[in-house]
Amino acid sequence: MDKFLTFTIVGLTVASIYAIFASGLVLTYTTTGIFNFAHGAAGMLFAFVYWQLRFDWGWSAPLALVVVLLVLAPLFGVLLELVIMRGLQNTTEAVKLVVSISLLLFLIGFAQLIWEPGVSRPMSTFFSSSAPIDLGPTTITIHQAITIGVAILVAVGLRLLLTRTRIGIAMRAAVDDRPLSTLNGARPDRTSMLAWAVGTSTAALAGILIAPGLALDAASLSLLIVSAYAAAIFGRLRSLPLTFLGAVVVGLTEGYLSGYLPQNQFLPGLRIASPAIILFIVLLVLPNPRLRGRMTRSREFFPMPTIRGGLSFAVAMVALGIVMATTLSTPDQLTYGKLFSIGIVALSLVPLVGFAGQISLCQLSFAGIGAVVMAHLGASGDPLALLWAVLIAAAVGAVVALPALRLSGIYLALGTAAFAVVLDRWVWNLPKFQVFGWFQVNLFAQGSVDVQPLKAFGTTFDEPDSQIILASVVFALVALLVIFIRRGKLGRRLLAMKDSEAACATLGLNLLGTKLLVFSVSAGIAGLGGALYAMQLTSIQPGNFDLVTSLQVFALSVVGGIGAVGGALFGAFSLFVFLPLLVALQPDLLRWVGLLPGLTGIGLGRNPNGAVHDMREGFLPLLQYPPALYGMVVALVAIYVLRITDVITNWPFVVLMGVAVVAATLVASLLRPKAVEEAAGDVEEVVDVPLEWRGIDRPWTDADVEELDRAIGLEGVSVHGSA
Amino acid sequence: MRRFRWFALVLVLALVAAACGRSGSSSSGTNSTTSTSGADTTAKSPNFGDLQDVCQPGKPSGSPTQGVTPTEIRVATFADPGFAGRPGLNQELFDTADVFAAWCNDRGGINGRKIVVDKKDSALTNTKARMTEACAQDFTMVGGGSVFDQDGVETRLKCLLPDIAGYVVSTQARGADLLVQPLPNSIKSLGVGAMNYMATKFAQDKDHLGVLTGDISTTKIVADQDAEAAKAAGWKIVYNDQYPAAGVTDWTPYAQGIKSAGVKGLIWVGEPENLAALMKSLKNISYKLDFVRTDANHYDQKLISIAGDALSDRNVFVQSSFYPLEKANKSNATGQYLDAFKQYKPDGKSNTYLGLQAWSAWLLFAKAAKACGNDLTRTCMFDNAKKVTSWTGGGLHATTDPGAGTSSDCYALEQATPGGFKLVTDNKPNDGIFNCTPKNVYTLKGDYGKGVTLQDVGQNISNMK
Repeated sequence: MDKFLTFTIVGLTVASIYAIFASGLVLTYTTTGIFNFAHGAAGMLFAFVYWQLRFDWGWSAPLALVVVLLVLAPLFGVLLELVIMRGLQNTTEAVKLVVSISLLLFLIGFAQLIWEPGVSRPMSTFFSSSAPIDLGPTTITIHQAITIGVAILVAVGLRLLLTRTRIGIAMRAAVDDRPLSTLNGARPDRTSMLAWAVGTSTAALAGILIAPGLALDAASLSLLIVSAYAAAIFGRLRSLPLTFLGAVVVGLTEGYLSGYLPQNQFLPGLRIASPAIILFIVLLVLPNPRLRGRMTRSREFFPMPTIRGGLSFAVAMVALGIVMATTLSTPDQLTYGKLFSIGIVALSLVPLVGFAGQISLCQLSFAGIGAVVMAHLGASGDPLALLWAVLIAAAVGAVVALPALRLSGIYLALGTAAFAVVLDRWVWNLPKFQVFGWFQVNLFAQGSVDVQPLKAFGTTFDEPDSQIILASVVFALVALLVIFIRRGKLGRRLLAMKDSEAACATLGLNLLGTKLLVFSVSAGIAGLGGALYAMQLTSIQPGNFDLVTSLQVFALSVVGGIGAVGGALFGAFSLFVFLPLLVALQPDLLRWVGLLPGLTGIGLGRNPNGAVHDMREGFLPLLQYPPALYGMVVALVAIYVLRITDVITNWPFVVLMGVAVVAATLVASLLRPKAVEEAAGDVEEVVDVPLEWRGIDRPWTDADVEELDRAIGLEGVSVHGSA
Repeated sequence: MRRFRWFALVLVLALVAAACGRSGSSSSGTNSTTSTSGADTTAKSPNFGDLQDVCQPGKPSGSPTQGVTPTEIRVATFADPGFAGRPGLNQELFDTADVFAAWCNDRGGINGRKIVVDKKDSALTNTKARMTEACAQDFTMVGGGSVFDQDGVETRLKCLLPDIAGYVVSTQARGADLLVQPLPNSIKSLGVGAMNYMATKFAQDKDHLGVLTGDISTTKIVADQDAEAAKAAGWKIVYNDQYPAAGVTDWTPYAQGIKSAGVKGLIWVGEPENLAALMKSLKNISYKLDFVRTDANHYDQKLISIAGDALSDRNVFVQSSFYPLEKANKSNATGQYLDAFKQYKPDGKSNTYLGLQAWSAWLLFAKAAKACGNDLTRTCMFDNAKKVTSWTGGGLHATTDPGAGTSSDCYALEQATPGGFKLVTDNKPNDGIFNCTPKNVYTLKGDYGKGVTLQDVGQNISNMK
């Protein structure tokens, strides 16, 4: 009995922290529509601030608490709303998600910048010197009692705020129907600001309560709170009472699991994975969210890729691979060669997120499955292992897609994140096991497994240079496949599904099959990338495929522009070439570099089409004036020949390459004849600027007027006096 | 003009990219450190502890092998401070390398050749890339280590690069060829001196032993080995659990589990912060353990500062082979080590056993290299290091056998108390503060993996120069 009581108290304490945390999350989500992935990071940040004030500077606890909870945290929340979140209206879920994921990465980097990691920061619990309260068979510490009490106070306080105050009622009104409440004179911006202030404050409170039990560490503190998401999902991100109930369920499950789970080498990970498993189950049994009939208009727009463009991209990628393999030193090939294999994983996001609008945060987990398959089935260098990697990853992808068939948007993102967490915390660390006595599975052998080089086409790919060329060729082929999908029937079906599931269902499109297919294809591509990544690493650990890296790849690919293959390249390039290079050049920058992925992602709210879109526009003149283009290619080849014959070294090589590209583009934009410019108008029409953007993205023409007339059935009616 | 913004970016990227050059001399991720002789006023003794003439001038000539010139010896030192998840990870290995090189070069170097340290920051995932660089430029590896050292060991053996290791962690690297460890971390034997002490002092607890460790492979292997040795010595294990190394929100369940199983003595393999948290939870549920046995990494002020008075009636023992830092003074080796830091890198990380261990590796290297005289080759240096069968790092630690690579049969015990670490004196020390007897070593019978050999990578020691 005393054991049961002890674990009930443990469970309730954890539940209280989750409840405080989740209530802030729900508050901000309902009032602003943004699911704040960085909520945990905000809690972490203010736990650090509290430590700084209370323990490093020796302020008294009440003063430090007041300053953190009532001044700094709300201010930070307001700042978030003003600077970042306000710019996110009319963007897709993916963009909103990336912005908050980037904020999470940024806050971790920021905390590490200020509070050097690895230094001990002891943080004692409240009233740690007082004896625990004796409850007969067991005891409860004052800190535990305070935690539970605070959770109840937060629940009561929020209830009063939402039902008894004017602004609280305005908040609820904004949740129910934002435009209607605006019409009635409410000011949604003010309620949003208040929601962010209160939300950040609760995050800070939860952070301060949970930190003494953990080592004060930025990354683990930010991500551990993922567990609280399960509680928020109980309330379907809307209902506060259900959220509190959910927190109690999750907390008690965790408490009792730690008490009554048999000691077994397979199970310790299950305990910390349990909130993620609960999250997954809740998502499965949650009442099916209605198909939304209203089309959400977004500012995003990705043009249809042309066959010629796709082929040029593929050729350019292989050329880049060859250049890297022949000019870089072996250590640099090892460091930067991962570009293409991770690039393939990023490519897997393009059909799924870019075309179909389905969010997946576990692509690197699929890659991990591909890598494990490669390590075990490819032991003799058998190229068939690559096929197995694709097939098995695709099969797992289909299984993960099953709940996804019922979910969309943020729920899907959380479900896939939960899948990644279950793999990270539990499955990857499993010891050897038998599957129904058929065969033995030894995932990562509880540490790392070696990967043998691939043997194909009469060569053994055991050197980094040949591996880079192989990876670049596969990357090019997969890019072509993705472009092929986009141009084909499937691509149109995916885009239609992204625009409106309800409309698609009405027209008789098989949503189920389409979703299953795109998830499998995407997981298969990720598995292929993972297998090649494993081959390049030669020895793989679970850490290579964790959620944080997955988040980074996702975020940076969306920053690049997830609707196009170039976006995937951008994501992989920033993460595996640009950032390592910065650090290699300026080791002192290391701690600053941690801020960059976050910063670029946060900037996405301003430009949801991604960076590659802008870059492409920059190079447009070049594509429209072939003489300059061919001249540039010839110049690049010549420079490369100079490099390869060791006439010049890498520095002049890269500078000359850059000069050639810039010069060619300048020449093209100056010399581009008028005719080409007019043709450019046609090109854009093929590209098909959406009707509502004409006159904004390019000048309004008579042809547009006619098209508009046709579209709204006004044929033959006189408009603007024309016709 | 918006489009030109991207040209600017591409151009910057391009310029940055050029730095990683096959022909560029400054390879990425490498810092070379030459002697930076501080202004010193004390007499420069070439001795360290009881080691005579560690570093001395000479008239070197010729370049007998890679990394050795008439004026310098290029040596690679590995660590992971560039890991973005935890910047500064194992920085003490780099600091120790800097300080030793400065200390030694100030005294003339190795027979007149100055030590040049190539710091290889493996940043957790780049071990192989950095190892390939070391293969191309350095004479040997000294006083370093990478968390994922299994990634580099095959590359190292292929290019016949010896390693006088600061630390090794994976079984592949621990059992590898061309490796000399000043304080061997063997995969075939285990130091059990502390458990022998517990068996006599807490004989009544023999049927109530518990084992608790993190759920990552490196700590699990150690805990499995500890459990095997304890069972062989007649202990009965009533509790054997793993905690998630990713983080535990509340240690009460583990404290309660220990209480429910009636554990009286605990073998703990983990990190000091977590042990401190467990001790606090045990105190909260008012459960007393007779003893907790931990490894040398718990000789850490964090344990004391976080656990505080939870340590007062719970005996936490740290088994170690080092002469304790708190007993450092002007006349002993530990004091000399701290003085060297004070002189050459006052802000360096000196107060760790890992730093001491790396320093011992540097001393072993200096001794082996010096004995080769002018004709310094890898074969000569490695053979000399292998010949050392009794080693104390000048008095930094208990006697070890780097040549055979077996666990040391000596140990000392430190007890963590609220007031700090205290040396245990009732363990019948017979060699200074250390208790030394062959009974302190247990030969492991279980299969814990094997190291990489030269044969595995198709190399032969006769190709080494």
